[in-house]
Amino acid sequence: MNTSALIMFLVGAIMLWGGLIVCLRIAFKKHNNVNNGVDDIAQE
Amino acid sequence: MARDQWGTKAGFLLAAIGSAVGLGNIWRFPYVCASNGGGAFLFPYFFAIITAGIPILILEFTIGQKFRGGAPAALGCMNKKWEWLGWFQAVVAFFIATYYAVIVAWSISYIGFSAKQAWGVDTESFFFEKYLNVSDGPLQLGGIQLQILIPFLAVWLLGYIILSKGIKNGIEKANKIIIPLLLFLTGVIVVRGLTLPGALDGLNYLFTPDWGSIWKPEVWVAAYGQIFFSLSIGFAIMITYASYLPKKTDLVNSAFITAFSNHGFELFVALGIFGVLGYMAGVQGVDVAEVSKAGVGLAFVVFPAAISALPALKGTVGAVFFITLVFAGFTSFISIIEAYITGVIDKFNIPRQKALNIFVGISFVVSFIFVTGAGLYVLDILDYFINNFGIVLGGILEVILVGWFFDLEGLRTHANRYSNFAIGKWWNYMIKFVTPLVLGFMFVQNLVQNFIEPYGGYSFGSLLIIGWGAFVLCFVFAFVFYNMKGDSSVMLQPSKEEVSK
Repeated sequence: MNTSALIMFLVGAIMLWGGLIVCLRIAFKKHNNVNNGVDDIAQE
Repeated sequence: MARDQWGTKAGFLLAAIGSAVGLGNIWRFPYVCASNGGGAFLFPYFFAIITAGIPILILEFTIGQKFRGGAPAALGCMNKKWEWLGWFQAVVAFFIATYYAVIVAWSISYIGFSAKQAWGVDTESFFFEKYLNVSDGPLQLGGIQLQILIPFLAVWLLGYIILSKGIKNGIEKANKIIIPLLLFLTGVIVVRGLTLPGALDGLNYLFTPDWGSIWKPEVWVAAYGQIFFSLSIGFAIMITYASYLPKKTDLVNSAFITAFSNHGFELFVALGIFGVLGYMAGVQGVDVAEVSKAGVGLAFVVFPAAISALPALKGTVGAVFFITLVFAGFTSFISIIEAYITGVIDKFNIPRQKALNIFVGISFVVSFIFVTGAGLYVLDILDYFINNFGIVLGGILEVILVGWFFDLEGLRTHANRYSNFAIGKWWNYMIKFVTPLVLGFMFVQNLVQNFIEPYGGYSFGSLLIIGWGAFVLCFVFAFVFYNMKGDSSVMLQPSKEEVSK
């Protein structure tokens, strides 16, 4: 694979797959925080 | 009557992704990317995702979830007169469902053909003459083609059964099974494609940037077109799916996840497609450009030829490819039907089963035209007109009406309320200015193009009856449903007080 094609593929992968990973991480992080909050309330 | 609801947020996301990921991701994106500047295309493409795809997706999720109704009910809740637009989008979905079913049916047939590569050496003749038995023109039906009939009946029956089970037990469960399988099978295709000799030639063709193309307006239009047609926006689906969300839902991140999953998937599958095309070009001793095609030609002519040329596991790879097409098409197919079924249930307050019996029944009967010898022609014309005029016009009217004549800031506040991260004022500008301008340009360009050179070389009469006829019918049926008396006792909609909170 030539260098420019490889770079462009990596740019696309970072933009799309990287964007997806960031969004999923945010969603899971918030989800866990909410669950922890629920647990805290239950313990109280 | 209590409104059905998604069982989990993941279930909703998988269904939304399943709707967005369709045949276009597999057979359209790789070609559009390669023929519009290669790697350079990724910049207008990403720009279009951020400025149009995600903003419209957030808008539709917000409308559906806030007003808890399919497109007609939700838009009608915003302004009684806008219910018409919701019906217009629903009728567009109705037409798409009728021909989507038959493409999935072809793919099912081809799973069986893959075992012994029944298409032989001349894949083009096999598909058009032997399998479809195409007639002499779109107005010469040529009779029902029995070889398509059995998979065609199976697609409608399975769709009907899944939809009968409702949102949580039907659509959600189906997507929870199909989407992971789809991803796994796509992975198989990508691995097989990338490990073939010559695969890198295909990838070089796909990703080598042609920087000059980035200055061409048509490349930007192609990027916006790919985003718009790929995300299932503008024809009632995403509003419908979001209408079954609970009140406390993260809408903004859901839209980002749906969009990135959809476009990430098409980038992924493109690796496999062009890996295989690179190999095939090498075997035939031609340039990759010569074997690079889109749509039906790629799936049912070029790919079977490539499968026959594989060094090993021809039947397996062929079956995996066509099962992937079936899965991608089927999850979109059920979402398209749900778009108008929900509209009917909301308006007339009839049981889901009754709505399905009547309207899936009508769609099923209408779709028989695509099982005839003229099916491919009618599909080609209808697909062109419904996509380029029906969906685009539905999208333009939606963003203009909601952007300019509704409390857009209120919708933004609602979207941000339970979201993991907030969208800023930029979203308002995208909805009010960027999306109407781009979609308007696409619509006018297609209109002018069609008058200069009638689509596909078809006769004026064929285009008038099938293409423009279907477009006009979208208006006619939209007005008919809009003016029909619904069940005013329906309490599916939230009260105005609840909406304004």
